[in-house]
Formats: sequence, structure tokens, C-alpha cells
Amino acid sequence: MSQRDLQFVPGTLVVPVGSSVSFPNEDDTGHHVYSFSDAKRFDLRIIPGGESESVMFDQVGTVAIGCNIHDAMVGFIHVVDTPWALESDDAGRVDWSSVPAGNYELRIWHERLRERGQTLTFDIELADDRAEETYELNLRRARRHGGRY
Amino acid sequence: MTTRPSWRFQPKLTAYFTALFLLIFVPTILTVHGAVVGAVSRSVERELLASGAVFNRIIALQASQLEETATVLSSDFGFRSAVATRDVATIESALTNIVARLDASHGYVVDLEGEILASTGSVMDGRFAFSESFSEDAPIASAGVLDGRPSVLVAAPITAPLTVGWVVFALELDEAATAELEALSPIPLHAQVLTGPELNELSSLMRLEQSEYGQMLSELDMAGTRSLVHVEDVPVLDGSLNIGLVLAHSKSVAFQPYRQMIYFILLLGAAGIGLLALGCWLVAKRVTRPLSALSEAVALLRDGQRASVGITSSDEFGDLAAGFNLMSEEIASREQAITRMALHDGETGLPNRRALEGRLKELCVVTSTAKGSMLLIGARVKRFANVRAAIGYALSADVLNTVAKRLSAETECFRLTVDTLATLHTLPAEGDPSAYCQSLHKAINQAVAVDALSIDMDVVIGVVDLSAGQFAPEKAVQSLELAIDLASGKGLPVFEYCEDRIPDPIKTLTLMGAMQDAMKTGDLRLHYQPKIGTRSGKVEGVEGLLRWTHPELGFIPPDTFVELAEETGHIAELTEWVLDRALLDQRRFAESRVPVSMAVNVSGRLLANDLFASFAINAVDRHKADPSEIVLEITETAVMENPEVATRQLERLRDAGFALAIDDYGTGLSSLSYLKQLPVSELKIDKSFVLALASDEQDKLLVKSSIDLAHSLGLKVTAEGVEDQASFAALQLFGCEYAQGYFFSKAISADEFIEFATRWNVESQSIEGQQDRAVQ
Repeated sequence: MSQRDLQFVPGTLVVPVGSSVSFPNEDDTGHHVYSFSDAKRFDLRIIPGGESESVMFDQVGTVAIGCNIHDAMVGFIHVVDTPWALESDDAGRVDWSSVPAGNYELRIWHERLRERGQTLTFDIELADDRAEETYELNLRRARRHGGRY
Repeated sequence: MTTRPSWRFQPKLTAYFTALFLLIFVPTILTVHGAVVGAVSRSVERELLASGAVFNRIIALQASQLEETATVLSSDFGFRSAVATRDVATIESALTNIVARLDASHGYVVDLEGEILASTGSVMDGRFAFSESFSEDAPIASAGVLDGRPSVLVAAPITAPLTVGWVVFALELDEAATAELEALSPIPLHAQVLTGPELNELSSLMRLEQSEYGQMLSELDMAGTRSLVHVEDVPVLDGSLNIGLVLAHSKSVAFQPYRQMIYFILLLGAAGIGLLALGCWLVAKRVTRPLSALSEAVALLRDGQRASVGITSSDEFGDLAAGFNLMSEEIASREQAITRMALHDGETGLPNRRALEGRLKELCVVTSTAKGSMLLIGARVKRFANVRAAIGYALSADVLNTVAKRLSAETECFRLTVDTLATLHTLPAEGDPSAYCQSLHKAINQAVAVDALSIDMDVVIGVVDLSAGQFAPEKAVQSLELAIDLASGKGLPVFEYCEDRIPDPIKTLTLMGAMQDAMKTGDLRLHYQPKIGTRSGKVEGVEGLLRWTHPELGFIPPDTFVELAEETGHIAELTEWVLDRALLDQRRFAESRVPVSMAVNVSGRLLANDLFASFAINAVDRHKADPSEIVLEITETAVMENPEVATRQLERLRDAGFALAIDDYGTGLSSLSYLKQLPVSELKIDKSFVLALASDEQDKLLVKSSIDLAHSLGLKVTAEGVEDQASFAALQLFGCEYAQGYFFSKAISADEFIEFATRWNVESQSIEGQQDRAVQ
């Protein structure tokens, strides 16, 4: 997860548990990348100019990542232990055709979801001839200083 | 009329104008007051609203200061780290540090669920009151009530990097905050921050108070001072109790600059009313003073006194006064004229009866002390009506004036009636009233020369000696007239009034009234005494004689009431009645075969009046009687009283065929030669000569010679008072034609007479029978 133009890129990252994520600084400024999330706490002072540091995520959960120097910089790393983790497109559409039929727990996460941990949880049964499902998400308004997924 | 008329107009005018002034002044002062209240309330409202705005601005400033610090704190990595790791001790130390630095009241850290993670000695436990109102994205700064304390609040989100909670600072809005505001305000005010029940109570109080100061202001008692109050809403967070900033400005202070003005205007008004009232009072007094003077003068005038007012001003009052004075004078002169007219006779200019009575009234007191006697002398010009008819009113007035001068050369002369004058004469103590009056009569009874005419005067005089008794003025005049009447009636030149000689006029009038009634009721009757022809021995005539039996008084002698009738003027009426009655009865006698000649006595008073002859002639015509069978008996004295008229009347009656007889011959003083001139045909010898005829030789001689003389003048003779046979025989011997007397019959009623005459005439056929009868 690099820091480019005072933003985390990509803003949201899904990784399997036990993955190591590197945080390369591509800006001219330094960054102080940190996380107070229970899934992973860390505190990286990264000097400018291509220097990179890696952090190992060995616990399932969502880790909110910020920069102590630039408050507007927010990024999320979802540490998962399931193969079925999908990201929606910009229209909020997710193609779950690759997921085999069976009983699942569906978790929907959005940065601005008004739920504890920004996560909605459903028990669903997926059939082979599954139809398109629509879920209404109750989102908070966007932060003043912008931000993205 | 009241004695103080000024008590009415003066206060009325004053009250009226004072009321008028108040009518103008009160709305003025009310308008001024309203304007002042409006101005004051607008100005106070402006100041209080400004102060409210300033306070909110102060809060905002303080809030932004807090916000700045809170934001800094919330961004601090170590702090965030402490919050993220729930390191309460670190958080609290950080909060305490900041609170102390900012001079804030409290600091908190609140998580997203509203749980208080840490605080600086919190006034709250557990959940923060209105954390729902906090924003996760940005710090908020506003007011709110924390645990009942109005405070400025700042909540800055703590991002890690997502918002995990808020750092909150509170600054209580205590007296220090309001003191600052009070110090900033341009007008002295009392500021107080209220919330909860206290605020609600005040708000409802203000709603109840229908203020005259507009929507934003109310008048309330604040801290013991009557104040103009405005409550400024302080914006608070959702979920917080309302906070109000109560701004109070002392009313007395607000109105201070205007109070003086209002007082001045009120003072001006009071002075105005005072001056106006005084002015009105004086003006009204100026008006009423002349009116009072006029009013008093009118009262005097009304009481019959002369009155004038001394107002000489050239205004309407002067005109009125001049008019009044003129009127007063004219009334006085008119009154004088009226009085003169009332007390004077217009014709002669002499004072009248009323004036005489007035003079007598004045004399009432004087006469009692005066020496000598005071005479009231009256003179009546007889036949004045004839004189006046002949020479006219003007000349007859001259005649009266001449008589008046003769009556009283020096003293005043009064005209009592048309033909009667009177004067007052003081006679010395030794004077004789009778002699004086006789000489006066002589002086007056001279012909009067007017306008080349010489008019004979026939005057009678009456005298009342005022010293003789107490006379009321009316009584004196009445007595005088009575005296004159009596003088005239008795044919005397002078008659002096004397109680004894005067019949009681009241009694007389009553008797005369009764006599008139008696004519109708039959109480007054005509009786008849037969006249016997001495040759035939039969009843040849009757003399009608009046008999009156009064129901209460009994028999009233004819002499009494006939004389009264003569004196009171009822004699004509009585004679007419007698003549009518006699003529009716004469016819009845004739029808009863006892035709007689009818003799009726005629009062001398009637002969003095030309009317009697006409009446008698008419009566005879009416009754279709033969006048030659009517004998009208008159006395010598009656003729002598007024010979001219009497003779004229007698001649008329004789020419009309009446037989005329001289009654009571021998009692008067007349001579036969005088009688010769009268147109009479019969002589009636008075009974005083006949009563003792049988025994008295002298009477015999007198009667015989009278009969002879009468016969020599061609008169028949009747002897009255024949009471015995001897007298009757003598009369027969003397050649007397008729005899009348008790020897034959007394006067008897008509019915009795018819009976008597019938029997007598039958019996007289034999002398014996006649004699038998006579002896009885």
C-alpha cells in the first residue's frame, strides 16, 4: 500500500491472513503510517523517496490505516481467511458468480457504513441459478476533506 | 332670587373651561407619554437585542477558542494513541492540563456510543448527555446545558484515523460571563443566564404580561427592580435544554431622561389649569358683578321701589344697565300716571273716591288728636244727568269744578260719584256743623255760569262728623252717601249723619229682599177698606192698603216697609205691584157685582219721577180698566217736595182720565189756594180730624169748613176714620161725599170684601138694617 499524492493507494486492500504488506513512500514528504486497529497495531515512520517498510497481518479483521502527519489519509486493509472476498466496482456491483452454491455468511463492508465496524452481516443461501440481489446500504456522508474507497 | 347669584355662573364657567383644558391636555400628555414609552422601549429593545447578540458573539468566540484547542488535542498522536488504547490516566491528565490552560470548566472524552471514557472530575457519569448531536467529521461548538449548568460546549472528533470519539470541553456560563457582558453594554443592565424550569417560568410570565413595549420587551420585577426585560435565545445543541440570556434594564433608569420632561409637562399642565381656573373665575366675576347689580336692582324694582344700576362700561353690560335704568324710569313714570288715573277722575281732574278713602286712612290717626271736629261733607248736584245731557260732558265737568270750588275753596275736593262731590273740613271746636253746612248749601246752591249759560243748581248736602265716632274710611264714605241720599229723599238741604237717624242698611236690605219675596209668595197682600157713599149708603169705592205678614217677624206695619221702600228705591216696584193687584181685584169686584172705584196710594217719591205717569197709564191700558174709576191718592208733602215734576205728572195723569185725590188733608202745611193749582178732584180729610168728630165741636167746624171749601173748589170729599154713627151722621149733614172707617169695616181681603159689599149693599136697602149693623 503505497503513499502517493498524500493518499493511500489503493485505499482498500484485501489480504489473506498471514500476508505481509509493504508501504512504499512515493511522495516527496515523509509519512507516519499507523494503525490503532485491534487486528493489527503498528507505527511506521517512513522517510520520503521510495523507501518501503513491510508489516505482517496475522490476524483476521479490518485494519484502519492513517498518517499522523496527514489526517486526510485513510486506508483500509481487510485481513480475511475466506477465498470469497470481492470488491465492488464504482457502481457498487459485485459479481458473485464464481462463488459455489451453499450456505454462507455474507459480510458487506463500506468505509462509511453506519454499522459497528462498518460491516453488515447476512446469512445467505446461494443456489446455482442465483439471481441478482440488491442490498441497501445506509452510508454516512462523505468526509469533508474527501477521501475515497 | 338668591342673594349670591355669583355662586352659580362663576363655578360653572370655571368648571367648563377647566374641563375643556383637561380635554385637550390629557390626550396631549397621554400622547407624549405614549411617544416616550415607545421611544424608550425601542431604544432599550435595541440595546438589549444588541447585548444579546454581543453575548452570543462572546460565546461563539469562546467556543472557537475552545474548538481550536480541542482540535489540536484531538489530533495529537499521543492523545489519539492513548484514546485508541483506552489509556484513561493519560487521557485524563491531558484533559486536566488543557482545562487548566483554557480556564475551561470541564473536559471529557466520549466514544461513539456516548460513553464517557475519561473526564476531569466529571459532573456526569456514564453516558454523555447529547453526544448524538456531535459530528464525526468536524468539531462542533455550541451551547448546551450540562447537568443543569448552561455551558459553552466544544466537541472535536478523535480520528484514528476513523472517528472513534470526541474530546469535549465545557465552559460554564456563570456570572463571570454575564459580568463581562454587563461591562460591555452601553446601557446599565443586569444579565443572567437561565435554563430549565427557571427559564420556562420567566417565559410564561412574559407571555402573560401583555407588554406595551412591543414583542421583545416585557416589564417585570427583576431582583427587586421594575425592569424592562428581554430574553435572548442562546443557540444550543440538539438534546440540550434551552438556554436564555435574560437581559434586564431598570425601568426607572430607562425613563430617567424623560421623567423630568413628563414632570415638567405635568407641572405646566397644572399651572395651566390653575391659571385658567383663576382667569375664568375672574372673568366670570367680572361678568356676574354687573349681573348681580342688575339682579339686585330688578329685585328692588319688583318690590315697587325705584332702582337704577351704576354701570357705565361701554360694553353690553353698560347697554343693558342703561336700558334697565331707562325701563325703571319709565315704569316709575307709568306707575305715577296709573296711580294718578286710579286716584283721579278723568273728567274733572278731581281726586276720586279711592283718593278720598286713602286720605281718610291717613287722617285716621290725626283726627283723634286734632281739636275741633273733622267734617266729611258731600254735595250732590241733583238732576246732574239732565244737566249733562243738555250741555255735554265738558261743560258739565266745568259745572262740577265750580261746585267743587264753592264746596272747598282751600282744601281738596273729591268726586265720589257722577253727581256727588266731597271734601274734608276742619271745624273749630266752637263751630256748629249744622250752621256751617246750611251756609255752605246757600253758597253752593247758586246758579253756575258756564259758556254764557246760567245753570240753576239744586244741591243737597250730607255731613258726617268724623270726630263723632270711629269711622273706617269706607264706612265714612258710605255714611256720607247715605246722608246725602237721606237729605235728598227727605227733601232737606242738609242732612247730618247720625247713627240713630239712619236705618240699619243691612237690615233694610234684608227686609227689602224679603218684601220682594213676599210679593211672589202672597205674604204681601192688598186689603181693601170700603168707602161708603153718604147719599146712597152703598159701597161706592175702596182704598187699597198693604198688609204684610212676615213668616218670622209677623205683622209688619205698612209705614215701616213703605218708608224703607221709598228710601231704598224699591217704592216704584212696590207701587207697580200694588197697582197691578188693585186693577185685577177691581175687575173681580165688578164681576162679583160690586163695582167700585179703586183708590191707591202713590208715594211722593214716585211723583218726583216722570216715569210713574207712563207706567200708570200703561197699567190701566193693559188691564183695560177705566181710569176714572182709579183714584190715585197723593200727600200734600209729596207734591211740595218737587212741585214742578209732581204737577207735570199729575196733569198727565188727569189728562189720561185718572181721578186724583189729596190724602191726609190737614196734616200738611199747604194752603187750599195752593191745592187749587193741583189737578185733583178729591180731598181726603185726615182721620185725626174725624175720629172725635161726634164730640169735638172744633173738629166739626174744621171738617165742615174744609168740606165747604173743597166743594167750592169743585172737589169731592172723603172722610177717613169714621168710627161711629154720630160722626157718619155729621158727615152726611156736612155734605161729605164718602165715609171710610172702622164704623163700616177695617181693611179686609178681596174675598171678604166681596162678601161684605154684597151683604152691605143688600142691607143698606133698609136704614134700620144699616143702623143695626153700624151699632154692632
